[in-house]
Amino acid sequence: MRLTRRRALLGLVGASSAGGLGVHELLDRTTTDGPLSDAGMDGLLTVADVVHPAAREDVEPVISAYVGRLNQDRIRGVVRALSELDSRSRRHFGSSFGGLSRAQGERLLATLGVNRVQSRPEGTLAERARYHLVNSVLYALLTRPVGTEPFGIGNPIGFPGGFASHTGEP
Amino acid sequence: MSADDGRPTQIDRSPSSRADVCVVGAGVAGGLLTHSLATAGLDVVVLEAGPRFEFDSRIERMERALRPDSPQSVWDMGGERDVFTSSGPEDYDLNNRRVKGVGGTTLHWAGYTPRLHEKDFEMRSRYGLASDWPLGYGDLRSYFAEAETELGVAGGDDNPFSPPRERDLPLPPFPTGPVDSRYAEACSDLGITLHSAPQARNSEAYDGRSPCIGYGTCIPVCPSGAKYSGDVHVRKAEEAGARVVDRAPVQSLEHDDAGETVEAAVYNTPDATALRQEARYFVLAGGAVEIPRLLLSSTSEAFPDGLANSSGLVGKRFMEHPIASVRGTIPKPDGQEPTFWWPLESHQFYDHEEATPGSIKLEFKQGSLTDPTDAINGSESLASPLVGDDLSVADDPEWDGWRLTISALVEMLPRERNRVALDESRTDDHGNPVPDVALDVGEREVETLEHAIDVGTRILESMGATDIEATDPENPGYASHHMGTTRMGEDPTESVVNPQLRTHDLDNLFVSSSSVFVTAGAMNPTLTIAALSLRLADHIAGLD
Repeated sequence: MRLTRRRALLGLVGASSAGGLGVHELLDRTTTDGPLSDAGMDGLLTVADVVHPAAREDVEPVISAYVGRLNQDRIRGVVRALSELDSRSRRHFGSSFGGLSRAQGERLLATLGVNRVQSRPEGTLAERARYHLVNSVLYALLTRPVGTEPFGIGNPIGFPGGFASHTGEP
Repeated sequence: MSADDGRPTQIDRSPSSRADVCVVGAGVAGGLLTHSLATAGLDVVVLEAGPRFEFDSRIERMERALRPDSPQSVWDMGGERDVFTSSGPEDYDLNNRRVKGVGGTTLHWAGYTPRLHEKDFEMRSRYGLASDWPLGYGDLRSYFAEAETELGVAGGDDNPFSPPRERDLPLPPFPTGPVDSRYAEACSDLGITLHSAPQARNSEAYDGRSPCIGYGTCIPVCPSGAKYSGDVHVRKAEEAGARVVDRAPVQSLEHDDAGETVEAAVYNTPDATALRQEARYFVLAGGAVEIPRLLLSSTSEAFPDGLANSSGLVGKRFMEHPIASVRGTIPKPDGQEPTFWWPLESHQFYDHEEATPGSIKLEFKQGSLTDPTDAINGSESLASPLVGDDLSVADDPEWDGWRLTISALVEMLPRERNRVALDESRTDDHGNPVPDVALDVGEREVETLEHAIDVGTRILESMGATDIEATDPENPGYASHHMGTTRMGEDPTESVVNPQLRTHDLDNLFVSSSSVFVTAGAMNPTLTIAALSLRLADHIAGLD
């Protein structure tokens, strides 16, 4: 698991939220960095650990920038799914979702059936988690070098890497 | 209250009290025409069926394009507004091949802008096929050049097969890469000449738009705006004084008692129905599906079979460009990154002596064997090869491969059985019959597709490619180029519009669209659409 500043702080958040993080705790109310709070971002980093463990270490800015571009409907979908996963995580593991290890995160998602359902923006928790969390994080990572360089692709489709990359010149 | 695009719906969509020209459709044809007419001092109002799309929404639209589980189409096509049927042999997915809105279908085009060749205007004279156009390459030559400047076409002067031209393209060609060099070497060994591909995509900053920065999603959306789209000239037209009314689908055209002139375009808005826009001249500037649909829907006692349809040819002789593709695999070359536009073409097989096989235009494409975003599972299937039951992206050995694809646009002849008609059994959101598209390839197209596949296969074999496979000539894909349903000609019994693009039946009704093409050639049609629009603007401006 990637230990970020946010994850280091997460224990404090988790200790005060035994019932699970609510929507207001997952949204950033204090800064202009992005729409999610540190706890919200850590939930997405848990997802990133599960879906793309080969991604480079510096995925947090990529995911943060991606979330920053989402419209309000999409943000609501992300936060709702994270909030519900957080409740389940605390019941199963006694920890916030953002504080889970990769193995724990994968087990929780599999228990909910996220790996067996079709992605839908509205639907069951598993369907929504697949759309708003799993596939959104995959999209964020697989359209940036941080997620595709492990496969030898430095300028993936969806990334504005400059048309000169076509020439093979550095 | 706001529209889908975030703009307030309390927009004045009432008819203009005075209009010289009413243009129906705000794509590349309508945009260029309106800009020219407004610049010449005419009062122009444009009625556009679809919305204005906010430029800033393009990043989100790109995500829709790349995520297979996206619930929305990239440009909001579909639903009751866009119902259609496809009754021909080809199950034609029309709504994936057009855009309704300011900018039109150029919002999702590839951006390639070759000129037609001389022979494309002379198919009857040269080969005894179809019909000649009532105008020749020389009549459009200066307008091709003007269109290249307006759109901002990049490319070199290295095409030995080009028809005569008067000046260089306004932008330098896109650079070539390691795989392009391998294509060129292999083709050279086979006696095939490659050259730069003209494309309306900025190889450097042009006309206030940025150079291409390589998102790689030209089809279906360019987030940077480096690729030209019709909204560029719609915006310029508004700055020149034209009025553009979006979300105003025209339902019918009304003519005078004598049946000689169109008096009004009847349109709906989100808040009102049956508004009437009067004007001195009317120009239909939509695509080759919606234009015949509107004419066929505008029936009257004088025109029981549809407006401007005394020839019975409105909707007939619909044409497309079938595509032949040959694919093969090579190891991923060092330093080659995926790009999704291609700098090289060959027009060597375009002009031909014999009637068959017909013209082909070769395109040389490449990319990673597996697209990383394929790992995002779609809503229809969880069977992504890249994401297993554990949800994580697989370490797939296919990352090491590189896909080569040689595609050919293929000439299709006009045929009676290929057509756009009305399907009276189904209606759209305004209760109007929907368009029905019938499309199929003929023997000549199949033979030409086979010819293209043979050429492509020889090239890939000479490059040492493996796993070579080709598309089925009997069941090809199509390039989304809609043409021919209101054909141009001198004879009113054999055509819908005259060489000035005015309908034979109505004195003030014009058509600016690929629907006027007599034959299709095998070149992407947008530059010709643009040239015809600029020529029509000169004609209409000269009428006053």
